Amino acid sequence: MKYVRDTTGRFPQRPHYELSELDQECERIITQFMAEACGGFSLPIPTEALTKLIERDAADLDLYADLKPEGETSHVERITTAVTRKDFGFTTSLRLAPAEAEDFVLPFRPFMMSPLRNLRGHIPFRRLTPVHS
Amino acid sequence: MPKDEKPPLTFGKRIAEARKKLGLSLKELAQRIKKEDGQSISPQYLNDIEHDRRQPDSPQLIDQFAEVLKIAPELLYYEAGKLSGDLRHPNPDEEKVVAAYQAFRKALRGK
Repeated sequence: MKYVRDTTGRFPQRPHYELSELDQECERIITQFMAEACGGFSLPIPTEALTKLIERDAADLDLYADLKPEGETSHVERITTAVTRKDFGFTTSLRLAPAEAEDFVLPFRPFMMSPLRNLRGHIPFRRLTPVHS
Repeated sequence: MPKDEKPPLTFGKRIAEARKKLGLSLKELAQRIKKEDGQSISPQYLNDIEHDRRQPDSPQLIDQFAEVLKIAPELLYYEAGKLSGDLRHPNPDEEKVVAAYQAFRKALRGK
């Protein structure tokens, strides 16, 4: 990971990961969690394991939120909300549209591609996003 | 409220907190809570309860939450703003109801 200049103007810098770095870190997180909480890692990863993993680290996971008020026309499917930032921590509240909350089992790689897995990825990586001043 | 003091738990937040502490998923807990017809409640209904968008509609559900999650049922009834089934009487003694409420208030507020 390296910090690069942020061209959006929101932050002076932002973290930049190579895909292999993201993949490696996500693999480490899920294999460690499943070893501790699910009796070992197995493929495909059950949705139950992913939701438990998100709930372990996020302030809230709202799987059946009504997101219509958030974007009638823009088809909003998920929202990540920063609640607090303390000691470099970053508490995240996640809300998913009902369609995404249905039980599904997906192949492991690429870890970050599905909505639920993508949301889980927000937690460790957004911790590194510089504070917006 | 002082800065470091935690906000009081709502019914939903207490359920969610206890569920996570036991390592149960939304689906796993929903499967253990049965409605009067014997069917499990849906994960969506449980999710709405945990986010305080809905309240459990029967004392039977509150009793089951208390048992499965190992929470004192009295606490859950208080947070849900409901009376437990054993306290409901078709023809209660009005004076006793008033006295019981006053005692309850006194115990909580200390006055």
